[in-house]
Amino acid sequence: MAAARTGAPEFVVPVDWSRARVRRQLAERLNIRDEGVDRALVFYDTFDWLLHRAGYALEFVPGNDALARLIRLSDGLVQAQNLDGDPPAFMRDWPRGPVKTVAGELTDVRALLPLVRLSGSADRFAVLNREGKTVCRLSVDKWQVDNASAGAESTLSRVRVVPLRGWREEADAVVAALADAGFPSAATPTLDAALAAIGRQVRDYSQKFRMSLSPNRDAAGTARDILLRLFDDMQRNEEGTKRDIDPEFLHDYRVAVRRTRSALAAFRDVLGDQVLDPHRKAFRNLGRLTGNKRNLDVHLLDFDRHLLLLDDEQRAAVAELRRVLETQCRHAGEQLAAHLKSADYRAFKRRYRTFLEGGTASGPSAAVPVRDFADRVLWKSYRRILKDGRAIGAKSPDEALHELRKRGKQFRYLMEFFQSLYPVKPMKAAIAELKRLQDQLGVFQDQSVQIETLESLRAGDAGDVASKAIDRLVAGIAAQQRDTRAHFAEHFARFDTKANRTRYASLFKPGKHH
Amino acid sequence: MRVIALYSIKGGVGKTAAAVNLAWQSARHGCRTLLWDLDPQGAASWYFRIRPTLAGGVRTVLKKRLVDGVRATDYPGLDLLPADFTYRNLDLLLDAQKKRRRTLAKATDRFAGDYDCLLLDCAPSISLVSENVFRSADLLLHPLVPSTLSVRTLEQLVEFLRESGLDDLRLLNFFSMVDRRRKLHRDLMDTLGAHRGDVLATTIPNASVVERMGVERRPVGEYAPRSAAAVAYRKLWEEVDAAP
Repeated sequence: MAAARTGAPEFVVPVDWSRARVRRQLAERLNIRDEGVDRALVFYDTFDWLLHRAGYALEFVPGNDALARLIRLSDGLVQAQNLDGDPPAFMRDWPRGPVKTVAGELTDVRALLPLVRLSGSADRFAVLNREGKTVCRLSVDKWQVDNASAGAESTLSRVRVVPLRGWREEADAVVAALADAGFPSAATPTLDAALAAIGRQVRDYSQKFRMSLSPNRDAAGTARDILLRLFDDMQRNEEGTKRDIDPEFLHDYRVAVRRTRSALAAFRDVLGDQVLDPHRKAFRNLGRLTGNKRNLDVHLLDFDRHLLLLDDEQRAAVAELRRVLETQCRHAGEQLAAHLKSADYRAFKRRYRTFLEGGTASGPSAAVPVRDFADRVLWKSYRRILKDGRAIGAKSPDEALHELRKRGKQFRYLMEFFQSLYPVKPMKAAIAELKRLQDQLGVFQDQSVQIETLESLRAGDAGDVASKAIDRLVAGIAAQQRDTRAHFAEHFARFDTKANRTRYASLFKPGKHH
Repeated sequence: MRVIALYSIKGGVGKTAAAVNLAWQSARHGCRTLLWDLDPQGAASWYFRIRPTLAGGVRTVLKKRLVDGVRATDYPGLDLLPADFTYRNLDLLLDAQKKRRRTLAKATDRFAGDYDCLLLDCAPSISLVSENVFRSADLLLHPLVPSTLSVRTLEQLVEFLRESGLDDLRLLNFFSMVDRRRKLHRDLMDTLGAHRGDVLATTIPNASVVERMGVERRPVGEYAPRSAAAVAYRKLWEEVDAAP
């Protein structure tokens, strides 16, 4: 793997160099001052690497003077913040401080998880200029990676350079001095190397579906690869869903379930309708079982935004409703977790895996090259959206919009599965055009769910004031929903343009020349 | 980002010492803090062992690359934008601009994404620079040495703010270089404190430990954390931080 470019250069300490020798090498070339020792280091990020994707690494030094350091990967600059013990999982629960200010917005509803833990020591030094001013910092590390895989390189002996804002030249001079002292450059940053030791790598999970397919492979083999990959995504989110670490685990789990359902539907005449039938039923069931908890999650996330529609008295009355929702959500979570731990669920997974990994495909299209197959299903899916969308008028029931949204989602998933078979730019544009329509339909759907959930609270023992507050909330959301509904034709027309029709036809219409 | 200007018409009132120690306190309290040394003498820069020079000199104030002049201090969360001797011409530079009264506000806006708190250490005088500072700041923090002359300068300042249409700018006064053994100091503080609603409760003592900053070149809290002065700066910061 190529060395990652980083603004915080790192050097390797040769194995046979003692701590004293390292210190001597540094002191001969630089004016250094002791700044203490770290005894452990834990890297954190969200499950989907929101911090790393935004260009940051978060490291935490446990102990009495617990300290969180947020390192900007592009230039190595650090924001530091003292903490009272371990970092709270949600950054909204952190005390005020620079790390929270910068990283809190990035992590949003996702929980921080420890990625990898290092034990040993890091001697920290300030590098001073002639005025006695600190112009750069150094960390001389001797770490052992906890729980390293057998045979992996688990010792990290390094000198890490920590530049300071506005002292670039001075940091460059330190880097030159280290090279001059005979420290070789490290190939990868400490975080990457520590992850490698436990058999992981940075950004090894993403909500996006990306898979490289070969166009001439048979549809049946490709179908299995896609389904296995989705099954893997689902299982990776299982633990976080069971423990309800944050709402996004369930969200991603459900996305994998929905994608699987779309794939199973699309691959009917590849894998065989009858063979697939029990699996399709099982996944439909799973969608239903997870839906209740997800709706409550969403409602809780939106609750505080709704409060803005209320006056103080109503707000106080509704505070009780929030607690009711929280309880319902907890119960739904417990039910879901119980299901995911059940023998039934384990048996379902066993059966499904056996099906994916073995057996023969019995569908008539099993041997068709996947590129031809993709054209066929994508074109069909697209035309269905046009037909249904054009049929929706001002008097159509709300249900018609919900159905269209589901068709759109199906189309979107299919485009994502087969994305690698098509030219990059036109495909991106095709997905983006659909997404714009879907976003509008999604807003409409969310509003429906919110009204439903609020109405269901009325059935409980909501008092008079709370009941009025529900009226007001429902009325507010209903008004927004009418507005969304009124604009549907406009949004659909923006999707159903001649330019877009040409775009989709030139990509998917069977019989065209590739 | 909250912009706080440390300002006094008179020199030698402990303004820069307050700016340095409040900036340090602000960073200690978890705010990403920038101290902009606007005084061509560069005393605040000197206290942080940073040479008072800005590449490109005073004209850089008008440019985007002003942000490149920022330098980290030795203390986490606290950066400094050093002074430059050419700042003595800042008045002339501002006067030549189209929006001559708001030019500095445009410059301070450049730091809004990177910092929670911007402290301006301004040169003493009342000038176009001061007016620019007032229009950039959310809060004007005004050190008062308890003397009859200071009371007059406070009146002048209030009058100037009114004449410039800056009545909305929040003005907070605090007593600086206070010697409680002197009756004159005690009397003046009692009278002024009773008559004005904008005087903070914390007073900064006239202590040798503050003077030692020139030798130590560090904020008081770094070398004498338990001294009365260090405690006073902390309390002063807490009052300023809590002020609306």
